[in-house]
Amino acid sequence: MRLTTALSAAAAVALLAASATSAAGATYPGPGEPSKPAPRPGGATTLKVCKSGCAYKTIQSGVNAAKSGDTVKVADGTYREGVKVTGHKYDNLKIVGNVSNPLLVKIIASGKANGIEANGADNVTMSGMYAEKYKRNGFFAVNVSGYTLTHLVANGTGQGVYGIYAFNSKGGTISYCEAYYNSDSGIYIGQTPPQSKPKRSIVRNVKSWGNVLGFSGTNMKYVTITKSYWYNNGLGIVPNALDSEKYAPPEENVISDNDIFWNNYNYYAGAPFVLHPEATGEITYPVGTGLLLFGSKTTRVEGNRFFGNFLMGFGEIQQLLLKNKSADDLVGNQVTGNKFGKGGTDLNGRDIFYDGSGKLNCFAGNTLTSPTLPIDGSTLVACPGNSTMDGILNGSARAEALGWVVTPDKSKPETFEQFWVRHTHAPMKIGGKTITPLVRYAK
Amino acid sequence: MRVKVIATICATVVLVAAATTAIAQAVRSPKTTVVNVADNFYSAPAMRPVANGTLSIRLGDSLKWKWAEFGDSHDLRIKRPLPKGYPGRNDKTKRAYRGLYSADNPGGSYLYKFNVAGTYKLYCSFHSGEMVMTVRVAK
Repeated sequence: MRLTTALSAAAAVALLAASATSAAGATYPGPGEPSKPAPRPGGATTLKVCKSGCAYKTIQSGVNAAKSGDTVKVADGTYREGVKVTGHKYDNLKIVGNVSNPLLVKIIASGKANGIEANGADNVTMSGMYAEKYKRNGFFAVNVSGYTLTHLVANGTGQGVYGIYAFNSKGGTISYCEAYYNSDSGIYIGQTPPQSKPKRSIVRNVKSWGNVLGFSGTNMKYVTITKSYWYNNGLGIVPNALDSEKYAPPEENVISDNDIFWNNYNYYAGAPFVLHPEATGEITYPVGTGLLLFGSKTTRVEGNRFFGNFLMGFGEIQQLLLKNKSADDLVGNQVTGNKFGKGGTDLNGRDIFYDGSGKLNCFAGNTLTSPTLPIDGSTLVACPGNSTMDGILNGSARAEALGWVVTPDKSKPETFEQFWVRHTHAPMKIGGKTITPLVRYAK
Repeated sequence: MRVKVIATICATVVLVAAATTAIAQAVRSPKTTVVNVADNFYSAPAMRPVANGTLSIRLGDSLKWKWAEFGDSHDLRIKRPLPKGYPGRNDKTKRAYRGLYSADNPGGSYLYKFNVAGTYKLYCSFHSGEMVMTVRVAK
């Protein structure tokens, strides 16, 4: 989620306005449209990559020798490279490391943009690998129809922007991955092309922590995020509408059965990654938030567990700065069956914020343990929604929430915590491993 | 006689002016213009509009694309139709595109000298359709 557009100076807004204007009318191939690749005569094969005794000593050399449908099997070891998989001749390629222990297949992408990038190659699988020291993304799929990113670990320490990233793509799976210390988001799905028969993208069984955002979804569509852990980020999950990418707003997404907790990482007070200028625009993120819909339509937030987020568990707000006014409002979002505050043992600062903007947004069956904003809950209309409530804005609730993002001063990190309502956290284990809260990073 | 003198003077003036122009053109140093590559636009002060717009340059001039250190992935590719005289213009393979091409290059730069006049349509493959620019190269 690039904040330049949404939240920064007029000059940047003007530049991006020019960008949007000039973009109109340009036509380029979309994901999955060009000609089909030629299959390997005799069927797919496996190419082995290892540091010694194999035909291929780098992952890239294995990829270069591969054809559509082949498998590049990468042995345990350290690979100092950034790998590119470009074009349909690599459709259905599998790059497979050590699925049972991805940390043993280490990609050190020093100076390279990405650990592995698949651009215009459909249905590529990347699995069983770890990436670090990338300058952009750990694992990246772009302009594709279908992708499988599984059993991957992306460590953004240093300059990493996104850990695991799918952009301008139709349908795919991100599963059993872990992403941490990325300066924008651990996992990101952005700019999903509108589809008459949508291919859904699935994010499941992932862990994302220690990032500015655990998950960012700029203009994402048809995405299901489920059974995952989003914790110790500045914010946990943020579907968002931005002018910087096409196809606003986020639509038809489902966020269900996740644990969204302890997202109180005040990265302004110190971080193992470089805070790039775009992410520190004039208006800041509301650090301490579990899930924020920053402009969204027809999104279902259901059956999640929100706890220990010091500003709020769940919030939704109109994307006030979007130029495309038809896409800025909240429409038809349903927040149902979520549990807040872990039975009262690990409270959120506020459970829900919603100022009533938009239409047909509704709430039902949520278990609350902390106050809402507005405190009387008057905007939390029961599902399936009530059109008589559409457009009735609670101005004081909105004003209070805007104060959360315009008041903090980046030169005074403590100001990002001024609206928090702190509580002690109950102990937490994930997969048998004890985790500890991250509010201030210490080397 | 007087008419002949005036005619001679006029002719001389015209010749000198023409020669001056020719010399000026001949000695014009090729220019290099920097194009910034950022999220999600190419931009330069002389571009119209200043982001994702059109740059007009002269034959022999160069453009230097400079990538932001941080941010999203961006590359540089050329779109068909290629200008007349562009190397490999009729080559239908991707080799034709490689003349003017750069992968994503965080914090780095890419220099290209335009030795063929014409109109070049360029784009970022990661953000195709929105991140574009046009270069018009005049003789």
